[in-house]
Amino acid sequence: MNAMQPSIGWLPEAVLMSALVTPVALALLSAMPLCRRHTPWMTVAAALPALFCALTAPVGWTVEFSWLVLESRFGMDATGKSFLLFTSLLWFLSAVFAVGYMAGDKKSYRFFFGFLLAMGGNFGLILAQDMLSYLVTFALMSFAAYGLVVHAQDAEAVRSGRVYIALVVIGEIFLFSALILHAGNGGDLNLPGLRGVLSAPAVAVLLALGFGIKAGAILLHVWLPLAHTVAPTPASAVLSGSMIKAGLLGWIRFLPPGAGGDAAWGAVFLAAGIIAAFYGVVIGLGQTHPKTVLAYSSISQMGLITVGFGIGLFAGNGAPALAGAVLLYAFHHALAKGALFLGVGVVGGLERRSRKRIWTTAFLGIAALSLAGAPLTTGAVAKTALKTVMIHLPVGWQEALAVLLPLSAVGTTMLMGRFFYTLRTYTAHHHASRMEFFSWISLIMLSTAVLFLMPESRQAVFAMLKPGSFWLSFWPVAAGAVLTAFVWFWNRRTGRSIPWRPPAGDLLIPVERVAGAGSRLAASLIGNGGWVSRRLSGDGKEDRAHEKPQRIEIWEASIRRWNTAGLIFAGTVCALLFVLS
Amino acid sequence: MDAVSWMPFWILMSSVVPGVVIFFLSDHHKGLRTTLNMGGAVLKLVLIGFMVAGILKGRNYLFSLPLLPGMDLVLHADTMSVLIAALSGILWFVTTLYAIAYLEDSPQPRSRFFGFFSLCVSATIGIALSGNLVTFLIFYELLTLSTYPLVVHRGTPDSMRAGKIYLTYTLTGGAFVLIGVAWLRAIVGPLEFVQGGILSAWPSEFHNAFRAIFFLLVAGLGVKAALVPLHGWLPNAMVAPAPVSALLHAVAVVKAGAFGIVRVVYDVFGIEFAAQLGLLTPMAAAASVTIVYGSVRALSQDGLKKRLAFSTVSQVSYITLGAGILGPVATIGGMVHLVHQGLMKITLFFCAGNLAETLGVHRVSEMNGVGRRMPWTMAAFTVGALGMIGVPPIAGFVSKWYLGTGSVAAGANWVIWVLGASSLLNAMYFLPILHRAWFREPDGEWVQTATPHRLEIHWMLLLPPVLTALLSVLAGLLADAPFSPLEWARRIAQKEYLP
Repeated sequence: MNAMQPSIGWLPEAVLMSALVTPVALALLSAMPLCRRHTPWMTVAAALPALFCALTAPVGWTVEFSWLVLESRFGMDATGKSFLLFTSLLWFLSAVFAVGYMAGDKKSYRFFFGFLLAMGGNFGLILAQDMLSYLVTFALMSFAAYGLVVHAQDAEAVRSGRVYIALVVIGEIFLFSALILHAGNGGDLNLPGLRGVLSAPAVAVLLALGFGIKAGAILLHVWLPLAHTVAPTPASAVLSGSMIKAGLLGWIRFLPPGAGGDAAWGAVFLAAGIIAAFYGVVIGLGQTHPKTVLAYSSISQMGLITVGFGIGLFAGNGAPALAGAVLLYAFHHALAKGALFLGVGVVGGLERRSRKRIWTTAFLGIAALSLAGAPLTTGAVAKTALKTVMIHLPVGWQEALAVLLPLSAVGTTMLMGRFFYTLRTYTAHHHASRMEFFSWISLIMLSTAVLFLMPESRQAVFAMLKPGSFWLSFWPVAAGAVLTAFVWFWNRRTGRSIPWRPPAGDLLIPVERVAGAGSRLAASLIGNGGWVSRRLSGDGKEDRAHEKPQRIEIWEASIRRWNTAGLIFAGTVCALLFVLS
Repeated sequence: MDAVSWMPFWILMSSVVPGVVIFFLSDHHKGLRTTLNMGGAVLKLVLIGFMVAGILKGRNYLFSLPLLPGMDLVLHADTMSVLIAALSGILWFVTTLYAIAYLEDSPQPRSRFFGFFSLCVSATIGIALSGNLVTFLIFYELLTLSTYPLVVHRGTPDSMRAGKIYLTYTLTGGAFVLIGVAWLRAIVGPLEFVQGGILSAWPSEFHNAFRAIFFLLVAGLGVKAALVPLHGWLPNAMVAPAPVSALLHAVAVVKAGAFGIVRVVYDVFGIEFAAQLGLLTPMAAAASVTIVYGSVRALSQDGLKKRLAFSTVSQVSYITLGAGILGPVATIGGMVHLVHQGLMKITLFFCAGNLAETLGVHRVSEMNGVGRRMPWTMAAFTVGALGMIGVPPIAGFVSKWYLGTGSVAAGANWVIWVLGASSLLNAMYFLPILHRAWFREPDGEWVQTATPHRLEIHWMLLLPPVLTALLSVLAGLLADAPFSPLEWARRIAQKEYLP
């Protein structure tokens, strides 16, 4: 590409790489005690190069560094441009929010360090054009975000952090193994040239699972409700709005369908997406913390985006409108979900039942309506785009989706109802500052205004004014609202509530129990005073258990003595002599 | 012999001479001792630098001294020796710096320590530069003997016991190697290290003897390389002072074993011939068992140095694993891990030493909040730990990448399971440490005491871990740049597989 545009020289390097390097460099700078005072402003500034890059860098810019890691390629393509735009917007506004939110926090510098590194990783992976660079930046983002999850340091944060990092590590191992299998068999590592990964089952499964963890795919989603709830609010916003999309982008980048499409994989993703869309709603409706409700809504919404990705796999690479639908949905969800999370912080800081709180909550309703897909919102345009690409599917799937997609919108509306219900009694630890208000309001405005900035979506909005299509996006929201209102009145009238309180992390609970039992079993087998060592030593006195060497240590000690070594040596020599004679 | 030939000899002497002179100094000659130590370290680095430049220009550094009739002491700098010689040169420099600050104020005889310290490094350099198996064996035994006084330096019952265990293991292992070498010498004659091996031309009636010899050599070398079940000495030897542990685990003893295995596989047997004899897969299997076993044992260790020691058991076997898989890419992975593991592990041991020295923290359970008191030390530790897990772009990732892709290319897909399990286990015993250090409130006794220095610790104790951590990052981040360890490993692999 550089050869074609010789006049621009170092410009692509500077513009593309500054998006990645600025946050990382500022993170390192912020770790210096001298600069600690300036950390908040550095955080705000860190996202600006990426925003600039998203707005100005033309599609097609590619830069290569033969000396970096194992030959890195970064570049800008259509998908990346759209991802970078919403990602940098969300990070920028969350950074502004964070400056206000973390103002009184003594450990804020540690938070900002993780925040900046995760930001750099997130920008970098969008620009990465080869598998290894993606993996490197993905790891940077994932590991740095651990600091955001455990920031509060209380028992709940520590547990969520443990679950989060466990799944990060497992995801990394899956991705690493997939890449090794791919590269070891002579596969191409450059993302634009990637083909045929789907036909290598082991690689494709590992990639689908590895990125599925980040994307909150069904069964792999268990970290998400925990982490998004305990993280400080601005971190929740970026976790749910943009970092989770790194999993989606991974799928898009690493699992490109062939020209004819791939029906089997398409069906897998479609099914997983639909299940997640409803599963998130069903579990989310039983949650009591507004951020947990939002986290489950993210699982549900990512399910819908997964449906879009699945349609793309069915259709093959001959359907450009399709990529647009997925991108639009991701764009919409990032901004709306970011606004909702930040809104929790803003509303929660206001005095309960105050007029200001009511107005603020109502304003937050815009984002909620958009998420539910009410007419004339970004959400509605995104959902319509998703519906129009359904024509690429076989007939049976089409009919099923025609019923299920509106039903999921009903579910989302009810989930938003649940969100506002739980938000009613929620109090945050501090009053939102002006900066927080500013960033939150900008995010809501942006998520609405974005529709009118793009010509295609502007047409889509006008098309929606027609009665037929208006009704199509109106009735699910209305039905959801009516149902929510009904439950609410019933609760008011009878004083009873529906006894449905699944724990946050749902499926994780049995898994944790099994894992706990397993590790206890392992400890009892090889550990101090455990079953085996008791059997071996013949007594069960618990009081001296801690002084007894572990069974495995007894074994090691036995081969550590002179006479053992001498015996082994003599034995070997004899055996050799015997062999030779 | 011209000046070029003497180069390996001078490199060896740059640490032998200071070592011998230091023995004659009394303990209070601190300044002179330090000058000798640092002077030798700098001189060695400079000489190695010249030699690397010379090799790139195609010079052949071969130093030969008749020892017995038909048996020469040969020092030969080929691409493989330079890799480990450069590593020991660099790490000796930083470790000397560290050791001076760590031990100069201790009550034990320091001249004895630094004398043997220099001899230990000389032996390592000798191993690196050995041009034939007999020379290798001589330096290998010298290493055993010169390390023993370092292990028992403190003179406590614990360290005497560890020293005894160390000798038991290494002398037995050495005897195995000796028999193997003698036997091979009897069959083959002179045992020069030649890239591609020297045995493949021998008729097939010798093959069984070769198999037995291979077993003897690898079993003997495997003691120092800490192959399970020959690893028992290593976790005990961690009672040695921190700089000794650091050097022992990173470059001196365990690397001597691993490097020996590499030499035997590549330059005595020849990897293709070893594969033909069916020797590689059992060795790779033994290495894999060691990798997993070491990590599992590390999980339950509360002692920080002990946990690191078991981690070494696991990590060093990556090198053996790389040698056990036929194919240039896996070779690169194993070779480059010689360097990468050294950089990362020495960082971790320096940090453990710093924690013990300033805060009296020896156990993982005492590490709550130490990141706040010693941010630089713990930052270096974090880099080392993440690198060990294999988090990109730190050096460990590059090793694993090459080992993994090389194995897949060689059809040994099972290695992925080993790498995956090892990464998972590494994460399970390293990440809790990082969590404690950075995300828990400090609760140790050290909270009440103030930092005595302006920095968190004396600069000579802080600079080494920070420097090696930085090198670990750079080795990964700039893996494709010229002069990176990876580039050098590629150069080696190219020669081992020439048709």
